[in-house]
Amino acid sequence: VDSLPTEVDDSETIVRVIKSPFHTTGSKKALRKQAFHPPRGGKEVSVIRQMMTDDFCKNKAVEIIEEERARGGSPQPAYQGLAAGSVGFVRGLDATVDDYPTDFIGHAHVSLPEAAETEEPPSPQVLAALDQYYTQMVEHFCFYKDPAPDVQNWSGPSLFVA
Amino acid sequence: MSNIYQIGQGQTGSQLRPTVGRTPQPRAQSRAQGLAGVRTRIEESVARSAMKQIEQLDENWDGYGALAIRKSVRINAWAALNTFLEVGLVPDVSPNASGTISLEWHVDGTTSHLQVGRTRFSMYIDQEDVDTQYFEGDVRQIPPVAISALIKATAPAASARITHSDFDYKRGFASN
Repeated sequence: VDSLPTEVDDSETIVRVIKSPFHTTGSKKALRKQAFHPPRGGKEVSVIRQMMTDDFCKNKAVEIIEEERARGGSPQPAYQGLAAGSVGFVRGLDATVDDYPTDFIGHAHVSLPEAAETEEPPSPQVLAALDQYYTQMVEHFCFYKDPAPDVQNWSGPSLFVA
Repeated sequence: MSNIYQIGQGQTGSQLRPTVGRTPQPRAQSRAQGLAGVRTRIEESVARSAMKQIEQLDENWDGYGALAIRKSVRINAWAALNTFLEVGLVPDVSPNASGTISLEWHVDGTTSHLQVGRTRFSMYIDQEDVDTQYFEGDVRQIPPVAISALIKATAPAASARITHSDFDYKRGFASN
């Protein structure tokens, strides 16, 4: 796919790459809320538009993680799998979903209203409200632990969310 | 003959055993309480293991630009963890990308989240049919009223039914 419409439609599926074992629970391989936390000081969460195809999502995920692993650090990001959800659902939670093709075609951002402060918690009222949002995201997004992480292309179930 | 399910204090659902037409033996009750104690100790070990793993995290530990968890935050979280473990409240412990640490409890209809930072804490207790309670302040002085409120909210289940996510206590957080 060489280009996508700049407007992300409510009917689209977006895919979150799960890169850390801290973002899944141990044996059940369910997502934790932290899988949808924005980076420090930010409010945007990176996702991939599934319109690019399931194989693209998988291969781009592996490519990005390999680049990050080359930078070092501990523990290194480790590809766990992909989580898929509906744009319309996310927008229904008052988050925004926008195309962000600066890095690569198919990149999009889910954005919260405000950025998180670093190294300090939000007020308890905001903490509770954010938890409600994250809990609904975890419940809505289908997490697929990659059955063949070392193989090119996606071999799990279809990522498309009807 | 009908089954009688004897639910003893401190037992969990998985430890319920049908007793057919007879009173449970004291030895069986003692064994069930012993198992609950073992489970609590395992959960405490899991919580402490998670804290130790958090100590090892460098910058970008989540692959999305997370902050490493600063030592002062870890010390504050250890203090909070020990406080709650002393009263039998075993949390699910997890790091956050913003450099804070979360301690969470999910017990039946109650959800509580304590987030610990460098100087401050925030906490809420959300119970069914009860107004949500909020606490915040100096992280070195988590008020007894917050601890009492959590104990009250989770009782009588606290001693046996504190649940946290299924961190694998043998292997830690699963990795590839």
